Amino acid sequence: MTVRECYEELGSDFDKVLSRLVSEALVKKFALKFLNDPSFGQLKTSIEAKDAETAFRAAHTLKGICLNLGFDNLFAPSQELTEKLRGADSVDGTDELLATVEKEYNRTCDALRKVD
Amino acid sequence: MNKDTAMTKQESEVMIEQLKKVFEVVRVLDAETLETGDLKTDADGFPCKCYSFWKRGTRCKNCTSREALQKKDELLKLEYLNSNIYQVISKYIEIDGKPYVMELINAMNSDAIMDDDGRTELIKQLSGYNRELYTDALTGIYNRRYYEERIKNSDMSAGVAMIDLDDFKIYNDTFGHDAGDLALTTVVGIIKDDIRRTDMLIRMGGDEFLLVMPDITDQTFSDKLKQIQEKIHETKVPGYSQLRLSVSIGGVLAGPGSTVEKAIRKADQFMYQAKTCKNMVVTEHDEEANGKSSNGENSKTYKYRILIVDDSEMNREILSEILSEEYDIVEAESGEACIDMLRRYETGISLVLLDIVMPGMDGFGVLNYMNRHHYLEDIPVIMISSEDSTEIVRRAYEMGVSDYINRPFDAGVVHRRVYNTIKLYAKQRRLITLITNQVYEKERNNRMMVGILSQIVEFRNGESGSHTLNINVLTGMLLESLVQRTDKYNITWSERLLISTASALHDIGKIGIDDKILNKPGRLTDEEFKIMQDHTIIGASIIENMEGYQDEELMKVAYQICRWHHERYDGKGYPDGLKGDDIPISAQVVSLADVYDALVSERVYKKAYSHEKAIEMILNGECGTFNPVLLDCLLDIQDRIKRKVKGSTPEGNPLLKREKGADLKAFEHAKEDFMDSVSKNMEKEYSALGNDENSGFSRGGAIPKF
Repeated sequence: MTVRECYEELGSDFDKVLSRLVSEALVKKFALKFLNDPSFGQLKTSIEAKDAETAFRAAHTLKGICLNLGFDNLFAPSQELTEKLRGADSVDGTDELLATVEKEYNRTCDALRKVD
Repeated sequence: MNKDTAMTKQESEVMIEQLKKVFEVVRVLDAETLETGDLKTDADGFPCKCYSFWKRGTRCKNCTSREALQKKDELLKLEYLNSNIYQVISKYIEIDGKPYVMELINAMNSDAIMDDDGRTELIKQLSGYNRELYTDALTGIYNRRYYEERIKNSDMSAGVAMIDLDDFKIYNDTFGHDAGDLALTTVVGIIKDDIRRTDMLIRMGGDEFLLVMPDITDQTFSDKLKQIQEKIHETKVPGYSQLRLSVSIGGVLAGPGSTVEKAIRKADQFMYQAKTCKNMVVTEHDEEANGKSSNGENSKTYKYRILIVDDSEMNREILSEILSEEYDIVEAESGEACIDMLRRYETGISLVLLDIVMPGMDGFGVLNYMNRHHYLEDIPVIMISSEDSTEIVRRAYEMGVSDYINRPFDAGVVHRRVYNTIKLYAKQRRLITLITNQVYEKERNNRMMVGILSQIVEFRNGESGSHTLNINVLTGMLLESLVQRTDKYNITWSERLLISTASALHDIGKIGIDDKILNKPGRLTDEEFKIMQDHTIIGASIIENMEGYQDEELMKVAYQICRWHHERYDGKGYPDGLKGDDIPISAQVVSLADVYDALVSERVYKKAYSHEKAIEMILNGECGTFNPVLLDCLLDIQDRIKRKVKGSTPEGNPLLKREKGADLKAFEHAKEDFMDSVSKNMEKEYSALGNDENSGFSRGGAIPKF
């Protein structure tokens, strides 16, 4: 599957990303790098460890990357989670949001793995 | 086939007869004639080549008749001969089935063809290159119009170079348009001397030139451009010694099959690459050579370095990918790492791209540090963040960032903003240097005049030639130390400068003292001493009576120094016996400096004492009592004094014996001191603004106000 088809499967606007990041090759290169990005893993472990501050930073980074790569599907829930965690003392009440983020994260990674 | 075209031999002869009533010349040419130019018959009195009619030695370039033959068509052209315009009709015909072209030629009555304006236009069109039309009024070379009409679309193999004068706008703005014009004509003169007659130099606009060098090899072209660049850099603009000319050149070879316009686009890119460093040539040739040599090691030399600070590797990689082609990229994964990099590279970093949210020290922490340590004055920061709340963006700007880029960012926009910011800072740095030099130049002239004056006094006085300079340096150092010790005297830095300058005039009153007394080797009698003391009063009255300048700060300070530099803190000095801080601080400082230098110098009436001895004598009160704070200052700076105040015991006439080298050195020292005081006070102005967070905004204050 091409990177464009991957974005389409995820319901994200490929042309918008393309216009910002110059070439399809570059979009592909960056998008595939997302598979190795640790921010989701950090988000999950820090929420499990009830470390709200680290969780906020990880969510924030994840949100920023999604913005830049145009992963609209994952951006929306990760932004919501970021705002929930901003300035928060605890990670209480984030389970549901985290689940949504995880679902979209897995969906995104699955689609990316199909890109050749 | 058209009826008009096909005819019999007889019909053609009738037709020719008829046409001869209308046209001056009617001739029929066959295919072979048109190919070779040879006329088979010259029965009509024609010369034996078809083109000889036009007084040409070769076939007409625009032979419409041949074209008419090929196209089986009728064509019209104009020819220009002996300032007459000829109308030529070439008509394809077939006589008895064989193809011919009939030429009908008429001279046109030039007045009747068109009005004056039309004729001028026509002549321009027909005569090709028009001097006036295609000449740049200032430089006398080709202009943009020539490029647009003659060069742009031409297809030639040539070296094509874009040449851009560095800092032209700055020169224009600071030195005036005359200087700018002179810079342009100077540059053109150099290039013209260096190129062949067949090369074309075109002023594309402002300070941008196009050089087209037909049929040139890669190497020669590249060498030539470097030669031009070097020569320009070595050249001085007459009358503007501060102007240091340089050009940035980008060059490519245009081969056949491509237009000059296309080559220019490429040359332009190279020129912009060269521009990042200035005074530099970048050609395709170099690029290739660089590519071959160890992965472009050379090309690194002109890349600006950007520091990307972001805790996410992914984010750093994306930015690095976007920018690495044109910039040298270094990365930091945290605020702390960023500061390490800043310490290591300092202004070797041209720009910082900074994330806000990071573990440990975040983006604002980095900005805080950069403000406190004055990095922000020289290294611009662009923030990149997905934080888009007004509050955060505003805070970033208040802390001195140059720009704020929101995620998701556009690669082109990032590129552009980075380029603009770097360019702006580079320009500002050069501007500051230029202005400081100019201000210094003025300052130097002042000092020179004062210097000449005091030399006259010293010469009469038999003092060492470096006395003035030493007093100047000592006064400056004492004042610097004084303001660090106490703010009691409330001396601004410009006042310090004034006092140092005016210190040169302290003994100006000696001009009115008999030189028998001045240069008396032994002790002065009481009466002589009384006369000698008058030099303070005389000096002060010279200053006081300078018409038109009484209100000048320099004059006020000079008056204090002249009159009271022999007063002592305990009131035992002369001429007025002032006591303590009734003696203006300017006079107090200069009197201490004067005493020290007199002690370590040789005079007609005494030998030179060592530095240590001089300090000891002053502290012991052997030269009268001084302000205790000033004595502390003297102790503070005594090591520096020992280093700086040297060689103050020249023999014989100081005016004749001083070495040029020493003068130059003294000049450079003086300049360094001046620069020091300027930059230190700039720093002061920053911190005077209080809040560290705001100091980024005071960048406009980086240019000293005078």
